[in-house]
Amino acid sequence: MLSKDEIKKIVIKSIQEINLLLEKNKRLKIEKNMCLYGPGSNLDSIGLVNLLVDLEQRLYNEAGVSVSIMDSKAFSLKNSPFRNLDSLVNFIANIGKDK
Amino acid sequence: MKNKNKVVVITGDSKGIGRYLTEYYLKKGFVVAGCSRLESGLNTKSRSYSHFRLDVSQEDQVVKTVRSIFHRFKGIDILINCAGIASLNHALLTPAETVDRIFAVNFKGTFLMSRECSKFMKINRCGRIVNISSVAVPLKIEGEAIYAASKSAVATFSEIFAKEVAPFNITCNCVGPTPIETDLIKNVPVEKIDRIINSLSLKRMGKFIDVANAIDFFVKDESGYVTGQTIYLGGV
Repeated sequence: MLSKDEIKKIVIKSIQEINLLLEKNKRLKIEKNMCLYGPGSNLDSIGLVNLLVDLEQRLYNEAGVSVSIMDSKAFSLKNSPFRNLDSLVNFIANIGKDK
Repeated sequence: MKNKNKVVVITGDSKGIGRYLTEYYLKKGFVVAGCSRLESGLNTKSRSYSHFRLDVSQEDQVVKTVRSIFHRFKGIDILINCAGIASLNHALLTPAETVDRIFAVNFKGTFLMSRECSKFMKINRCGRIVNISSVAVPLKIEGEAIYAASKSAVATFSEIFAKEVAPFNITCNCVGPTPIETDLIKNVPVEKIDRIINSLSLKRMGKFIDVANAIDFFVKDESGYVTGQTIYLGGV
């Protein structure tokens, strides 16, 4: 499985890709602990779907890692793993450990 | 329609409607990726045809297969979910295992294929999905409670899925055929088939071309504004 830094690099590439689909004033600003989804973010539910699908494909294409990010565990956690960049990276890293 | 190089994925292509549609779309100049649990029985040397073996109810197999199809053809334009099974029996005599299997193939298979193909259609911001329901849904035929329920699930799923993938410019529609001479109904008594035919406005058995014609409408370029619809054949 990938290190958290490697996962983070791939997540950032996906965010950059999704930003291309967003209007300039709605693009996500990539920074430490950036807010991804929820209050304070410009990403709507379709934007989140776009991001996660792109991320799954990128993880496979660039690292050969086949994961389903949107599993039932993602919804049962007290704090959403999609809230910010670090929580998403941690969540993906833990999927790898579970496997 | 500009068919050349358009990639159509057809499940259940080893027999029945799926087999017919495979030959039909090959003749029309499409590239066809046929999917079924069995080897393809298709006697073709067409370079436009590839066959993929999988069980559509198995998530890992669907994920791998759809990924392979996309990487081989660099795109997926159309998905036609034909894979289906039936076990026509009185509900009181139907084992739970049969219910699981019917829903696994008819509904879960349709869902998994639609989900995975949409992920790749999304890349090209265009796609057409056609699922196969049945007139058993509106006719509510005794002895087909489980089969009809699974096909009802397919129709409802298609109508809602259509809304969810609309932002990606993917359409999703459904065709509900009448009985056609296929393996699916080979064990259904003739009297029962006659009763179904008599309940239709157009009182005859369905033909494969009837199904293909309805699918043609949904997949053609000009139908980009048609989604979330179910067409039942025969005038139900």
